[in-house]
Amino acid sequence: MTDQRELDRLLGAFFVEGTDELADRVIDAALDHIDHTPQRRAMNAPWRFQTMPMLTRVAAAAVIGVLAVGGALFLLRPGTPTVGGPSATPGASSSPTVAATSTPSTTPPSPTPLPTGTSPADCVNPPPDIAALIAQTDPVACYGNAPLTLDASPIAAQIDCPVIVEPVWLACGTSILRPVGGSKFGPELVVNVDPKSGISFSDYLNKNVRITGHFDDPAARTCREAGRSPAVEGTPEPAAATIESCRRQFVVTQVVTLKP
Amino acid sequence: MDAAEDDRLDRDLVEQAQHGDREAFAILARTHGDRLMAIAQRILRDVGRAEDAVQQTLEIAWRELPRLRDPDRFDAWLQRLLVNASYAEARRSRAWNANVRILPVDGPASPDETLSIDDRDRLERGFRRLPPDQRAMLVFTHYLGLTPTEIADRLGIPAGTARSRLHYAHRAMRAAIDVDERPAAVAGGPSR
Repeated sequence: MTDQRELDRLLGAFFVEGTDELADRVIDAALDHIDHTPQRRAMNAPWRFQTMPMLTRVAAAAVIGVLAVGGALFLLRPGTPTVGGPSATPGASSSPTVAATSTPSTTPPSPTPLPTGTSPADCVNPPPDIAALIAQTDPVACYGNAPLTLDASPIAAQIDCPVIVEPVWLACGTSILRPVGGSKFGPELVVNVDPKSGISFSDYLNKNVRITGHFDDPAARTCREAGRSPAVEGTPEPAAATIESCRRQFVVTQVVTLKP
Repeated sequence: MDAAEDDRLDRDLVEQAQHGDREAFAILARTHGDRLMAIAQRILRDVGRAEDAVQQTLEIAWRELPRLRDPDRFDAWLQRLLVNASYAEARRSRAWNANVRILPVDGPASPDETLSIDDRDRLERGFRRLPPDQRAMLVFTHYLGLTPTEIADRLGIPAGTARSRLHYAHRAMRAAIDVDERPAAVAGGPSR
């Protein structure tokens, strides 16, 4: 049995070996890309209350209070349609034309906020695009199983799963999505689809779509490793690790085609 | 130039880049690029995939930089983006457990860092069986020399999760080494 000290020594030596230099072409390619990439503006604007004169502070507080009360009264007035019900006409630039969904809808859903109090401070909430979504270290902690909506372009891909997991559809991903207009070097999101949903991304290849989905699918709680392909050696990973991996899979529940 | 001055220079560059200064970001990218590559290559065990992960990290970093609240944490933030990009790269290339390739060795730096070819082969195979999050824990622990608490802070995960991942990773690596040291009973002879 290898003791911890010997294991530490072996791993220390193991990681000494390897590449320590980044090729200039990689940095050049990244810099070339950012030349035409705008930065996302910070959402946390500097708080300037303390530098305002007292009269301005009182006035600002009063305006905020009036807006808050007025907004609440407006939303709570009798006859207000509930969220998700029949709604306004979709925007001109990205109106849906075809819905292939498990829960048919005429309007693409809007990005959904996190459940209150469950997100770490660094979570981007809601994720505006695929890049922001995959930048989250722990999407399950950020979003739980709240529905998220993103624009994307599915690409043709062959995903070979070396580890067989039950349920199979939660193992390795069904399809790969790129941001609308994204390049092959850009961010990509691997997604899963429950066969029962009837969604097939082959119908949407290289089209621009609006997808809705979630992490932490209820089926993940029963995930277990069922086998490995011959190319993979080793013993099954712990049950908890398998469940954790399954919870991190993004499960698509709705796809809506966007007009060019 | 001392470390404090380096930190101040880095902070200035980060603040300039946060305001859209591409030249400042280019300097940061070149300054931090080698370290990012070293980490990504050790997690992914593949130079091409590591390059893709670093390039993606730099592109996301540029776009998201204005949202970084504390410029002094740029390095940790960048490494967090890199680990996420490495996870994505690993998920994208599902064949990463197959196709084992031993990397060339320049030579050990000291007697304590000596690895036999057998050891290296066992470690390589054991490491490639690990899920990406456990790989990252081992790299941050044994390559960067961070504690689980420091890694948790850097990656934005609970300290308990970091300790748990490290425990499983160590256990899996130990098992891989010990199993490979035993004769292969089914084959009726030594495994190597």
